[in-house]
Amino acid sequence: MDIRRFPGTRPIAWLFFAYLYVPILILIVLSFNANRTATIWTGFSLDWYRAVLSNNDILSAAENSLIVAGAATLASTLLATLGAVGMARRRFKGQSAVSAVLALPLVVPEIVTAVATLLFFILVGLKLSLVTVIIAHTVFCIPFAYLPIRARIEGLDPSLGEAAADLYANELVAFRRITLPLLWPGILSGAILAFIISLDDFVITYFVAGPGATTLPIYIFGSIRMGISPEVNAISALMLFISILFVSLSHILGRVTNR
Amino acid sequence: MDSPPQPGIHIRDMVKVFTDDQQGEVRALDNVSLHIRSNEFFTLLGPSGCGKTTLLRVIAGFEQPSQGRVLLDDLDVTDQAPYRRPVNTVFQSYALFPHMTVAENVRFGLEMQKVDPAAAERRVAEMLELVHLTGMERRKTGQLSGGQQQRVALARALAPAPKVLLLDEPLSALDFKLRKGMQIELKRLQQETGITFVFVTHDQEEALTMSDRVAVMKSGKVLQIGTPEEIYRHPVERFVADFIGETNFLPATLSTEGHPAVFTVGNAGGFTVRAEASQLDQRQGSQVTLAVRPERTFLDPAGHGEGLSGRVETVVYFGTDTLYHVRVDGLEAPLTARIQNRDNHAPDIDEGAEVRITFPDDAVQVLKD
Repeated sequence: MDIRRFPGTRPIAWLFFAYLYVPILILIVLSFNANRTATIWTGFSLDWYRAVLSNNDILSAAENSLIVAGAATLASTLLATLGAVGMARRRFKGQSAVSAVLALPLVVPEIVTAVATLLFFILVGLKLSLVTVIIAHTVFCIPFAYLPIRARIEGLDPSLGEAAADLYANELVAFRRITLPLLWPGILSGAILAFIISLDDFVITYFVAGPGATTLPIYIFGSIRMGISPEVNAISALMLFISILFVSLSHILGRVTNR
Repeated sequence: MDSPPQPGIHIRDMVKVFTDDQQGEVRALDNVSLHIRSNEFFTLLGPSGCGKTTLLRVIAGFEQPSQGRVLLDDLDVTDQAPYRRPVNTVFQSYALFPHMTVAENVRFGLEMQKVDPAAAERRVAEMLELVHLTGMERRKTGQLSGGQQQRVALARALAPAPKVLLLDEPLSALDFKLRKGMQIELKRLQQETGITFVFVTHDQEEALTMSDRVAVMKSGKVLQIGTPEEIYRHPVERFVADFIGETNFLPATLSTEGHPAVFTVGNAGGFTVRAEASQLDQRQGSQVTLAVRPERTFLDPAGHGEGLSGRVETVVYFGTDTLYHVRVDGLEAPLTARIQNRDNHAPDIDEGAEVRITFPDDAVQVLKD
């Protein structure tokens, strides 16, 4: 029997979506609220966005977030690409184990990774700073960047590389002329995913951030302890907008180039 | 070896062992030695898993043999990377570069060889003309039909003017009509370019119609090498006789040694044939298997005289020919006779008719096994 015919499927689906998106919707609406008390609507205003964009603490947190996300995305995507190419090149003993280990960070509780990373930094004597945040972000972004790239490689005809070698292209040229151009959509997709994950991360960042390494999520958490302010609503709405933009971009890229 | 240098491809004592998780060690190539002459159309024929594609990949350089050497015009290329060998491949999947146009695909090998751009441009045009794709230069390969992609793959592999062109079942994805056309086309290309073609297929008809010589392979071994006619008319093993065309197998007893030897066919006795059995070490009284092609198996509806007596089980009309399956006492499988319908009507033999089966001496092939 078709599951859509079960009585009550439709209202339950609506309930599900409401549960998921009504709070976000409320947050966006309230970010345009003229009243200082965040929960009472008194009229439309862009004041809080103006306040956010002229608040130096927020701007420096945003800058930190972008630096961390940018650097971590670059490093993790590079490593993930090399890893995916290496995994696809030839079969070796214990390959499925390596595959599982690569994806493991996706299921390890983030708090465990956070504590472990902090311990590790202390152990090797690394002073907490923006650099430690970048290192930590690079590590947990790798599986997110890796998976789309790997999927893309698996969709490629393995004889393409052989065809290039057959036509007198050495390994380096074959990679540059054939493999890399065909992997681009996967790499971009992976990079975008890594960027969003990094931008959004709170738990690990909270543990390994040194003084002056406040990112946006950390700033939001800090300011919320003094009560929910309309500025926080505005920042959150902006971050949501950026995330949606990037996810859509990644989705469109995947669609356009899979034809 | 002291033999004078001969151009072409020499495969010497080739062994390739794959390690498989389930099956353990698989010998894809089991001591294969053969010589492919320059400028010939050579076909590796066999069922899937016989090692024909592995041998092709060893020649291309995609696989490293476990043992043995590959010589190209007496130059040992066994340890050379694929991109150093003057050998090009047409892949089963075509493996066209999807992010490039037709012209860019064909130009790729020339570019890698640092051919002067103007000369490369001329060569691309020449190649596309050769495969009848002029005007398609700027198309993306995804916009082409299967037959057109096939032609691009051919043009791309031929453009650098390799010494050897390897073709890995290139026609298997095409429909029947297109495949027939491409068979003739490939033969023409081979003759026009004078390049050595090594063609892999499991289709015996394809092998017979296109090749100068055929190597029949099974389980990593080469069973027989010869011209299509030799392979068809004088198969040395039961597998070869069975794999290529249809064959009647008959048990027989050697009754008189000599050249030719005399064999008594079937268990009924009385019917004798003479055949050459020089490749066998047989004594009088030993049991052998004879192979006879259906089109050389004759039916005598009168039912008298020499021959095996049998009863027609089924009659299958094919238009050009009619097939008769005849049950003979003492033989496991029915024998097949193929009679050409030269007249307007099929010969007057009905199902259930009693017939005598005969064949001329020169239709008989004595098999090793």
